[in-house]
Amino acid sequence: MRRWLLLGLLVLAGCGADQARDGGRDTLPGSLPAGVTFAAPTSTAVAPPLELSLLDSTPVEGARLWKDRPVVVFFFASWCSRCATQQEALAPLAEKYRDVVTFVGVGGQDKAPAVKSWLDAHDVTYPVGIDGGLQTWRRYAVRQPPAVILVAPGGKLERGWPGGVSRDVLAGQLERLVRR
Amino acid sequence: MNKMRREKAVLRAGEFVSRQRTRAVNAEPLQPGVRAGVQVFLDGSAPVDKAPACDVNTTPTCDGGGPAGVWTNYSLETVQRVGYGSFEPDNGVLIAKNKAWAAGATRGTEGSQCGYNCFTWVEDAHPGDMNAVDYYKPDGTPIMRTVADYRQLNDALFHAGTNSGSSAEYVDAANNLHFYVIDRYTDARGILHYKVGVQNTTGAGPQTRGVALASQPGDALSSCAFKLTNTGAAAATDPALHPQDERASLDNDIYRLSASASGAGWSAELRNALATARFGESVDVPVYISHAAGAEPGNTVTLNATSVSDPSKTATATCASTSAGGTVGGSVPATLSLTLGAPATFGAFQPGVDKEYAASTVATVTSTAGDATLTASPVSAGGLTTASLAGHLTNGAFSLPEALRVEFSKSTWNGPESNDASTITFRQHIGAKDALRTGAYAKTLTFTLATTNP
Amino acid sequence: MIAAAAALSSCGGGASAPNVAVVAPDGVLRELGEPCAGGEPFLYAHATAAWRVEDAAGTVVSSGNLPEGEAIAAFNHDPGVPRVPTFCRFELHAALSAGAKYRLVLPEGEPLPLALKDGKAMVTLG
Repeated sequence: MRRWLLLGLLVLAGCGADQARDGGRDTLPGSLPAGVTFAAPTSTAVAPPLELSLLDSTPVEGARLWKDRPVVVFFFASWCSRCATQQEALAPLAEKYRDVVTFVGVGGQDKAPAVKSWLDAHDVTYPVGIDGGLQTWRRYAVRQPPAVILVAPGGKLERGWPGGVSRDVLAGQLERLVRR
Repeated sequence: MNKMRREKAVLRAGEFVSRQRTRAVNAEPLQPGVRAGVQVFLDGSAPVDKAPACDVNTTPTCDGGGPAGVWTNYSLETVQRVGYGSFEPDNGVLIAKNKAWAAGATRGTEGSQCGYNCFTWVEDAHPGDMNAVDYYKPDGTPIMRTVADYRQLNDALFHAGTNSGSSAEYVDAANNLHFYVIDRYTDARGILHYKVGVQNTTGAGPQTRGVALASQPGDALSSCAFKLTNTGAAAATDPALHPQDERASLDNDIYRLSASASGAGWSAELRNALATARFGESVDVPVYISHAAGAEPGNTVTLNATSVSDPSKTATATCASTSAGGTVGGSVPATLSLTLGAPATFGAFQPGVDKEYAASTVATVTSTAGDATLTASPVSAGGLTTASLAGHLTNGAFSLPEALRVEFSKSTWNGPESNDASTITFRQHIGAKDALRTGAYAKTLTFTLATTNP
Repeated sequence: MIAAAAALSSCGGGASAPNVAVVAPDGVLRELGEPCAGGEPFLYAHATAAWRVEDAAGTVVSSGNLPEGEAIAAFNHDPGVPRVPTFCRFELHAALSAGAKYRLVLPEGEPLPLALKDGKAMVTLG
C-alpha cells in the first residue's frame, strides 16, 4: 500500500514541469524594470489596432501594451507545425526579455480547448487570445500562420515576418531596441 | 445602361424624398414608378460646383475641386450584390459626383470626358485611414495600405439606420446639399430598395413644416411605440422645375429622431434616427428599451423629432414604463414528500442454512429544502422507538438473532429534488445455528425525510 | 502485445496511399515543400480540419481530417529566391470508385465535385 502511495507522489512531481498554461491575465507583464530604455524606431508605419480577448476573457489592447515597451505579436494556430518550431525560437527570448518586451499570442481559425493544450504542450508563458473574426490577422496582412510582428514602444510597426522569423533575426532586432 | 431620372433644381423647392431600387436589376425600359436612382444637377453660374479648389498632388481626398474638378452632378444609386453587382464589396447607397460629357463627345468615345459612366468620384462613407498592412518587404519592413488603395472604397457605401456600420447622411456644405439614406427594405423577390432624401440646406422651401408625436398604448417594458405625424402642409411648386414632374416627391419632410431613458440603468435605442412622412401622414416609430440588473424601478422614455427642413419645428412625447424591475414568478410551498414503493419481502427463511437474504423497495423523494436526509428507524407496537427492539424482525415474542440491515442507495440530498429515487435494500443474515419459529417475521420501519434547511 | 502489433501493421499499409489532392490556390509566398495551410480566404483548409466525401445520393462514403499541406509552385518560373508564390496542396485518401461522381465537403466553401481519373483526383478550392 505504501509503495503505491509513493509512486503516486512521484508522478505528480514529474508533472510539475508541464504545468497548466492559460495565457490569461496572470501572464501580462509587470512594471518595467528600472534603467531600461529603448532605441528609437526605424519605421514610420503605425501599428494597426490590436484588440484581443485573452483565453480567460481578459480584454487586452495593443495600444496599452506597446505604450511603454516593445511588443512581439505571434500569429499562430494549434494545428500548425511550423508554429511549434516558431514558439521554440520565441520561448528563450520571451524569458530573456521578461517584463521588458511583451510577447502576445494571437490564435486564429482555432478553438480554446485546442489552444490551451497547445500552450501546455509548448510551455507558452505569455498572454494568448484567439482572434475569432480574424480581424487582427487581416489588419496585419497575416494570411496563414505563423507570422511574427514587432511593434516598437509608442506603436510604430517596426517589422513583420509572414512565415515566421528565426531566433537570430528577432534577437538582433530586440538587441538593437532594448538598452539596459 | 441605366436610365436615370434627372432631378434638377431641387435646390429651390425644399426637400425631395424618393425610393430607388438596386441598380443591377434594372434593364431598359423601366416600369413606370420604378426608379433606378437619382441624379442631382448642380446649377447656377459656372463653375457650378462650389467646392473649394484643392490639390490632387498633395491631398488624396481631393476630387479636383471647384473649377479644376468640373463636376456637375451627384448620383445616388442602390448597390446590391446581385447580378453584375456580385463583385461589389458591400450593399448600400452609392453617392458619387459626376461630370457631364465634354461638348461634342458621344458616349464611350475613347479619350472623352465620358461623364457618368466612367468619370465619377465616389464619396467615401469611411474616408479615414484603413489602418492595415498591405505587405511586408523581404527584410520585414511593413508597407501600409495607402489611402489611395483600391480597397479604401470597400466600405464607401452609405447605410440606413443606427449601428449600420456606415453613415446615413452625406453633407456637401459648399454646394448646400444634404443627402439622407432614410430607410431600406427588401422586396418579395429579395431585391434591395432604399429610401433616400436630398435637401437644399439654405431653405425650407415654400411648404409649411410641422411635426407631432404621440405615444401609443403598450406595456413600455421592452419597447415604446410612437406615432409621428407630419403636420406641415404642401405648397404649390412649379411642375417644370425638374426634367420630369417631381411634385409628388416634394410633399414630405424628413425628421431627425433622438430617444432617451430617464431611469438609472435604463437605455432607449432607436432602430433608425431618421424618419420621413408625407404631409398629413403618420408613421410608426418604435423605441427599444433595455435595462441592466439593478436598474431603478421607474423609467420614462422620451422621443424627440425635429424637422431637418425647419429645425424650429420639433415635437416631444414620453412613454412611462408601467412596471419596472418587477419580478415574475410563482412561489413554492415548502415540501418534503416521501413515497415508499411496494413492501419488501424476503420470501421463506430456511432454518439451519447460513444465508444472506435481500429484498428492496424504492423510496421516492420530493423536497424543496436546502438539504434533506433519509433515515430508517424501528417502531415498536406502541408506536415508540425502543432501542432493545432496534432492527430485528419479530414473529410474536420471537425475534431473529441477527439485526435487519437497511441500506439506502442515496440518503442525503444537498438541494431540492423532485421525484428522486432511492433504492432501499434490506438485508437479513440467517446463521446455520439461528433458531426460527414458524410464521411470519416482520418489522415495521419508519422512514423519515428530514431537513435542517427548509 | 498482439493488439499493438496489429495497430502497427495497419499504419504502414499500402491500402491508404493518397488518391485525392486538394489544392488551395492562395498564391502565398512560401518555400517549396514547406508544410502549409490554405492562406486566407482558404484558412479553413488546415491540418485537423474535417473533410468528407459524399456520393451522388448524399451518403458519406469517406471522411477524415486533413493533414498539413505542402507548398507547391504556383508558377513555372523560378525567380531565384527561396520564398516564391505557392499554392498549398493537401493529400488524402478516400475510398472512391472509378466512374462515380462525388462531392468533397470541407468546413467552409461550396462542396466540390470530385471524380477519379486514372485512380486519382484533384480538387481546387474556389
